[in-house]
Amino acid sequence: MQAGEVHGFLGPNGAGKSTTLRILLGLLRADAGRVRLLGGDPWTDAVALHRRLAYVPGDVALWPGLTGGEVIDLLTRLRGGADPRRRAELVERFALNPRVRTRAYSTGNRQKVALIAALAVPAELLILDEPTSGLDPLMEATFQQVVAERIRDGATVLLSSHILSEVEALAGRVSIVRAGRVIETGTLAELRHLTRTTVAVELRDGTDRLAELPGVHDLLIDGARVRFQVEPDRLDEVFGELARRGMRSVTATPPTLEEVFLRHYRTSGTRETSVSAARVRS
Amino acid sequence: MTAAVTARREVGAGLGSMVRLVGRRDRIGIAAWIALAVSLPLASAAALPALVPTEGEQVAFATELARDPLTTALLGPVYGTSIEALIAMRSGMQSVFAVGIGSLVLVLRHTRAAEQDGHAELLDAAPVGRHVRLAAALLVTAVANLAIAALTVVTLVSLFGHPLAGSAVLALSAAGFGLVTAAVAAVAAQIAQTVTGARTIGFGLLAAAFAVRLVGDVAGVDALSWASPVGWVRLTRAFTGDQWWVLALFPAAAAALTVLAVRLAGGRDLGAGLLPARPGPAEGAPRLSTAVGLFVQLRLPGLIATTVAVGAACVGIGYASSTLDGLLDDSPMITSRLAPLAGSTLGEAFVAICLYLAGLGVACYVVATVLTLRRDETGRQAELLLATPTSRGSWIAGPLLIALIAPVVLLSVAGLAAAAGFTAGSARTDRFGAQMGAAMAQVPVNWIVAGGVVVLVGYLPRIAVAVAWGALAAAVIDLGLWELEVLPRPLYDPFSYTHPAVDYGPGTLVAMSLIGVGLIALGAHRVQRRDLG
Repeated sequence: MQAGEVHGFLGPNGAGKSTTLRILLGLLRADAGRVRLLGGDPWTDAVALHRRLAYVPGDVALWPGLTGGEVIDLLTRLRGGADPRRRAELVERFALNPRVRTRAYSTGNRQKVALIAALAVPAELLILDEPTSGLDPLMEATFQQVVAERIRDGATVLLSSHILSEVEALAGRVSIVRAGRVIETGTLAELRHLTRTTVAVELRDGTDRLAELPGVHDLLIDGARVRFQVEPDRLDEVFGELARRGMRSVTATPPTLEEVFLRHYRTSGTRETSVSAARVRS
Repeated sequence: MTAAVTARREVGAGLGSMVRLVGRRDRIGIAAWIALAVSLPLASAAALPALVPTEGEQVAFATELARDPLTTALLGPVYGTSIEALIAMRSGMQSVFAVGIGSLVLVLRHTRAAEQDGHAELLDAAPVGRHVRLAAALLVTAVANLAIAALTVVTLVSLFGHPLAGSAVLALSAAGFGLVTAAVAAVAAQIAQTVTGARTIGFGLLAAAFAVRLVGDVAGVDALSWASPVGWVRLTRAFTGDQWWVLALFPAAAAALTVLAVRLAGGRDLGAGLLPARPGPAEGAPRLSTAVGLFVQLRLPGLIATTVAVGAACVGIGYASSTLDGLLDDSPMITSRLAPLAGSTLGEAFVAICLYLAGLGVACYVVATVLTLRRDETGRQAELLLATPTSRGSWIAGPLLIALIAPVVLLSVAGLAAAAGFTAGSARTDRFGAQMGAAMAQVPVNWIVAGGVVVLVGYLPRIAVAVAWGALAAAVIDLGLWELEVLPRPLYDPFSYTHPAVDYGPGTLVAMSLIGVGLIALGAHRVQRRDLG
């Protein structure tokens, strides 16, 4: 990971995302490999490293007898203290009632408590484990705004998720994890480059023999309308041919992260040659 | 017609499944509760004939007890001088607590707790009748209470040869009180929005019923004793003119309360209560800024409440014990059994035994306190805490500090209170130091308990909870077998070294303290170095 970036850490349930985060936090010790976080060893330098980061767990468990406000104060004070105005602002933006005992909070509200406590402090690194899984779309938008502000202030974000839209909206670079190993790392553009673009086009001069064009897949013909996928390095040729046949309308959809993701999981095992070990650097 | 039949069927839809669910979730707890509740009258039936074997002694004992206002306050009136009458008197109020607390906890677990935890939502969304969850909780509790009664009757009649009618009245009085408490819990579950709130209301009502009975019995105001379901338990007069008709009051009261609970439940939303949860502070107190401060904030109210309860109980025990002085001192059985407490009067011996038992009670508190580490770990609160600049050391410091300090606080209060009560009752001040000392002598064994549990949390985290409680239970059983002379000596039992029947010196206490501190250091060392979770 590079400083100042938002790095998406993508994988389905059980891929080892949370375990990796717990190793990074010094809660578990890695069985093998070298782990470095902010230039330190997460196990031996845990306390010193934790002064520089804030963490939001995927499954937020709070102390049932305390109120949300008390938990926010506890966590921010442990992290070195938060500006009271910043705290009040976040409580307001996330629309949290801080006087409620945490046992009465819904999943989303517990998540808000942990998010406010993490975003209220000026941490260098934010480690967020599926931070919006319990939030409604409005709160998710608020979350994205606040994280964007923190990034503008220079924070680095490690965002673990299986929710692709969450990562797509924020992350510059993405690592895809599978069975505890990072199988692909790159910017969204780089990853998309490996994947086919979906093209829907209405042609003037016939649709015959399109399927024989190199790089065209999953062709569907409905009268003059055609829908297919095309490999990225055949785009020029294919669009040249489409232009010769005359296009009445065209939409080309870049591959979503979901498609990138699914492709990795469908072609099981074949791409693990490009494995870089589960080692995250900052 | 058809619609009415269907509607009636729908009211009870899913009752069978729900009853099986309650039984399946709590089968071990219910079995343990039944065993405990049955054992209380049996313990009296077994112990009292040994204490007062002859009829003359029984009459003297009963007459003495009848004169003592504290006995009347705690146990109710003495109706007869037969051994059965004494058993009924001794076990009646004990059963009130065993049956009452069990019924209350069981019903709340499947009503308000289920709503608070959210699984009520899952169940109520299934095709089940509106009040089926409540009905299942009440039904299982009622069946458990009747099982307690049946087992009590069978054992009292077959093992001890007591009359069937009296045994049935005694057992059904307890079961009847259980039914009433279950219905009280059902009402409390509708009123409060949280389990804690419902529990407070339920226990508060139980305490109030006990207090009304107490005032009625002590002051001789019959109307008050009759106004309290706790009073009915003794007013059935088991073995002393069995008043069968009084038993009918229990189901009548339970039915009325159940109707009230159903009415209240029908008028509210799932998850809501009649009393809204009070909002808490919007900001954390200054002490909520370290891991230790957090632990103090979470545990201090409980520790204060426990200390007050222990203090109040020990004043009463000390005072009651002083009234035993001079009573039965000449019974040869007593002097032989209490021989190790040489030179003590019966009252002094009783205080020593009670303070020893207080030490065992404190051990439960210590085990629960240290095991909060494990709860933090499995509940994932530890993860949140340790991802902040909080070291493992400061995380475990809170529970360990309380586990070291709480025995000192609780036992010095217990000793002080017992000695004060004893002094007030006997006007003898010379026993003050000895009684304080007897209480404080139970501190080192509690440090060993704390150390043992930390070692378990460090080295065997996955089975720490079961092993910790199991070991404590085994230690108590071991002591019991030794006291009953089944075992010639205790088996490696830390509690045996400071038993009131054992002669121990300061060396023993120092050695035990060092062992306790050593175990704590060993466990803490490991907790800091192992994976979390």
